[in-house]
Amino acid sequence: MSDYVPDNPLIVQSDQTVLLEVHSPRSEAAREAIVPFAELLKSPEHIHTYRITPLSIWNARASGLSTAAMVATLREYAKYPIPEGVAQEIDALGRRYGLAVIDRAADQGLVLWVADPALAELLARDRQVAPLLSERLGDLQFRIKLGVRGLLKQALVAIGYPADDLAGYSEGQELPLRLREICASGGPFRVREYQWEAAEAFYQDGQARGGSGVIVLPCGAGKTIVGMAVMALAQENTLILTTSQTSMEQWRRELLDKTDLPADAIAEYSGQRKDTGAVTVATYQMLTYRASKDGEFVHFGLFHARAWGLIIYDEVHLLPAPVFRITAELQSRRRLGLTATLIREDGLEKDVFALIGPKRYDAPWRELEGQGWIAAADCVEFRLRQTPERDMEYALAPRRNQFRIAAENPRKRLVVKELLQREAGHRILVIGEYLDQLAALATDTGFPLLTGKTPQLEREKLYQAFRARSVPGLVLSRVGNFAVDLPDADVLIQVSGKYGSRQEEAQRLGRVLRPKADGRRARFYTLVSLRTCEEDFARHRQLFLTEQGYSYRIEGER
Amino acid sequence: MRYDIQLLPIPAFADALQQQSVDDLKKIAAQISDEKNRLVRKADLVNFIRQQLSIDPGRLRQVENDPLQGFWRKLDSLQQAAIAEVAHGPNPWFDPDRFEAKHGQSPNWGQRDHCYNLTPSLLGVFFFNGVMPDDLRRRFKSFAPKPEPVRLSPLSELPAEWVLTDEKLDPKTRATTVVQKPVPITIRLTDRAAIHDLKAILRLIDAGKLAVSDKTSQPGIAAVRTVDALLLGGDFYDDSDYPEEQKIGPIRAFAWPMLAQGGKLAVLSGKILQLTKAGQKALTDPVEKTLAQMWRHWLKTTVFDEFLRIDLIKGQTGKGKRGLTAPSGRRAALHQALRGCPPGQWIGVNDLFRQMWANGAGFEITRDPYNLYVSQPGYDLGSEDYRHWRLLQARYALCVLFEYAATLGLIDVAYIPPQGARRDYGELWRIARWPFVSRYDGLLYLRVNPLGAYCLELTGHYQPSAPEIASTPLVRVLPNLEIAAIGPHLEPADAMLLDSYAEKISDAVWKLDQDRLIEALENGHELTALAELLVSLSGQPLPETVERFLTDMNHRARSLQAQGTAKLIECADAMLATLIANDSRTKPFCLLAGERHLAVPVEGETRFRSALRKLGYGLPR
Repeated sequence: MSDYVPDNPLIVQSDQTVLLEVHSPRSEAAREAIVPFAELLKSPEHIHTYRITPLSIWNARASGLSTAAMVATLREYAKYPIPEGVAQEIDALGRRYGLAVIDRAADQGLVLWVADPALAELLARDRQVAPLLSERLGDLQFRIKLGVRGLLKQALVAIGYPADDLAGYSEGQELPLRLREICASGGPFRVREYQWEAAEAFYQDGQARGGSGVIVLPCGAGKTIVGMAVMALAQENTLILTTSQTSMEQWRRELLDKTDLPADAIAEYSGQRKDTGAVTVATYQMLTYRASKDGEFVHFGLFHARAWGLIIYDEVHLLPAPVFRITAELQSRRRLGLTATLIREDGLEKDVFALIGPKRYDAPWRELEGQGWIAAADCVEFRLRQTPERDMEYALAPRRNQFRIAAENPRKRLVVKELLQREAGHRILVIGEYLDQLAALATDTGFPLLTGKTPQLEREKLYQAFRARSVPGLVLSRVGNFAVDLPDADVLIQVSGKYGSRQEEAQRLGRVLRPKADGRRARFYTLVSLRTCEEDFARHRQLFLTEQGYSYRIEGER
Repeated sequence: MRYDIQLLPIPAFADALQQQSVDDLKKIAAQISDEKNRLVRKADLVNFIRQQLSIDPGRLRQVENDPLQGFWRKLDSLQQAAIAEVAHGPNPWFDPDRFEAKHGQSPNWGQRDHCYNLTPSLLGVFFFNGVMPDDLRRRFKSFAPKPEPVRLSPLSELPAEWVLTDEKLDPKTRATTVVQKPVPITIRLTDRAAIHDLKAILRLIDAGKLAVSDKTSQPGIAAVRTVDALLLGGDFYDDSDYPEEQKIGPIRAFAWPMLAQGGKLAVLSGKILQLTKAGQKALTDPVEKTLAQMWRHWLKTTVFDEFLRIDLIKGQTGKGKRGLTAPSGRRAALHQALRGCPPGQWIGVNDLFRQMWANGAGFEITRDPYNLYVSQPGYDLGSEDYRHWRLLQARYALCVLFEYAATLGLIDVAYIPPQGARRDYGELWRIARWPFVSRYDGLLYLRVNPLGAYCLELTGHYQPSAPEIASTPLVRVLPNLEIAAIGPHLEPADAMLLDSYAEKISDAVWKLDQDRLIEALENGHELTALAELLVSLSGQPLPETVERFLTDMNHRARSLQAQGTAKLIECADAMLATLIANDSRTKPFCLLAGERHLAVPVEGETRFRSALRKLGYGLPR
């Protein structure tokens, strides 16, 4: 084949996906070149898959990359000639970006400018967009109704004409904040280079083009630090939204440890306390609480409680729909999304793009692992036999109960004991789904047990004990899935999981990915009952891990 | 034996003379004596000839100084050879095909006048309608040297070019000039291609993507095109740029569907070929064994007569059909001829034919050449003057060798395009200007290769040459069960195999799919074939997750076995069902299925009924 260039690493496919052969001598350069306009879908050994989507193209256009440059990049690194359809699609979609611009006019308020009369007519008649526009100011200008900036951006994305939002932000209340060089806890502190790059890519010197968007970093790469770096750049009051109470605690702890904020500047808006301060931390659950299904979201007032200059959405891929709705009204605030993956199980990536902002920074975990910023991990799956009696019990059980029977296979307790012996001296987390099984494991191992019922104070105490090395390990229920900052944990034993949840798998693995001082590799064990549905669920999760590039080993039947 | 030529032995020369007319006897007498005799009576002429040849009644044994030796010395070398061939040959008659094959030309039999009457040469004196009387034959045998059998002349080196010779007529001067045109010879080593192609064809059939005619079993244009795309190195000729009248047509692409059927690896189901059990097995069996078996089956197959592929010879499916000989006999002759070829040495196909026909190892295509014709009825091939073996037997042999033996990888071949390659049909003026008689006319040389030696049972083993190691892997097998094609070119056959086990999720990526794998296993496939392919294409061991996945699927698909059909019988109540299922008379023939149902294997139904009656119950039919 005459057009075949073996040394090039990319294969551009007609479905807009791009395969990157990582062993190719030019793979690193190619990766850097395509990351601005292609989303990393999966990164198993050998081949990484990226997808070029309308959003990724618009993200790239938002950061100033031309469509010609995108196509040229693909041509430069492609092994085979790229499908013409892909080039045309990039060009067609990329050209749409910037055809609609939201800006402020001197005395007209917010105005939508469009590039040509045909588009103006299209928008004026579109049933999603038209209701959000006020009077027509000229052939190519519309005044925007009050308070619909976000909804308009959402509607424009939906019809394929993303707006370039240059309207800027309202001034937030000032917040003097400085990052420490020596942590309050005593250790040295320095924002890593990639973390600064991410913060600056977001903030863009305070210009209207910046100030809203999403930073994508793998678990354990220090997204909290990036959030704090942005706060240090913005110097304005900040609302931080997180997924759990524990995560709130973590933010608070980190802010106190690594910034010069006094403790009273950080308020907690939670079930226990409803304070607001210059920096306020809240959970999505709290904000979306309502007394009845049709009731009001009574805590949405928090968004307007202060003149927030910055709102941080932690784990933005989990952002609940009601928060999207309120976020649509908050377009004049700087909005920072933090996540390990932009892919949402509910397919609301477009809303993230429209309401939070485009992706501003993305660092592949492999690169960070190579630089030692996150720990390398080995994933091992053990297949365990059940006793014949239990096999029969499993076979006769209704389908909905089978998973639990398999998950609670008593042999798992023996294997956990074996693993504890094998991993003696390591910092171990045992995570499972079913409380009876976890209680038994806690008894077997002598590790403290943390479940949803464990009071928050008690949890914090136990986490602290683990961090302080006064307990060698913890047995955790699902509460251990999210935002538990246990930097020393390097072995995780998953005795059961929530069916095939990839999200959960990623979060659990994230618990052991903090880089270790001695550079040791993390180990992630999963125990699976042989010849049960657990195998299928495990395969689903296994695929996810391999697609993230982790080595995965399956140890034979036990 | 041709229907129209009924040759019978003639016991004695004298008897033969008695059958001749006076005119003929006079001509014979003139040949054996210089004296001008004036004999006119038949009896006198017979006596005269007998005296000249010293043939007395009852004289059966040769003597010293036999006067026949004198006549023998007067013959030219070609005529002497004709005498010797018959005297020492298996039959008392002269075989012109065989003689010409051996000696390259016919001996001088005499001259014909304008009325087509023959005045015999001295050689003609000893033959009557081509038959030599037995007594003469015995006498010639006593002194004529035994002819040497024809041996093959292997070539140490093949020429790079073949020179085509043609005559051109200048219409103005009416003068013909000989034009010579060198044509490069193409050499194809076929064993590796055959190994590759067989797998590809089996996969194609397995995927249900090969349709052939339900009437003729032959592939149509679409099927040929499908097969052609799979062949390693393509077909022998690429005639896409040729003008219509020069088109050669498919050879290997046509042969494979026929070979799959004739080799008993595939059968027709509707219009689609389906693998037989042997075909399924062949997917994982050593390829050389399968190829050898295919050749053996092909020798006897009745699926197809290769002679049909000589399109120019008409009448094969009409009146000429009954006269055709069984293909198995012809193939057997060619099989023996190939077995006689020294492995590893190039042999000219003409040399091979010469050896076959000269040594009496040839075959007949038809017993009725009058009902075979070229161009249109009336131009039949029954004329004795025309050496039809070149047109029929040789073309048939070329077809079998080129289309089937070479396709199966038994022989390497050296060939040129067929146009003008065999100008041996100029006497048939209706087709004289045609570019070729058969698409196989360009085959010049063949060589029994190691695979051929194995398939022809000349050796007991075959060591396949090591597969070429691609400098770069063609695919990457990823731990997330995906297979990405990253190399310059993935063979269509390999892609097809991947299609049957994995779902193609984008242009260059397949994902191993549980449903497909289980379906493939249900259909009798072995996952080892897939694993081997993946390892060979990627040049690396499979990722552990993939290996485990395949093992799991294999285990799951093999965990259940179909044991045949059973009849489900509902009993009036659970007690009765339990009773029948446990009674020693009925128990061997039924199984309890649920509370009040019994499953009775169909093959044991009669015995179950009889046992049931003994138990005092009946089962309405």
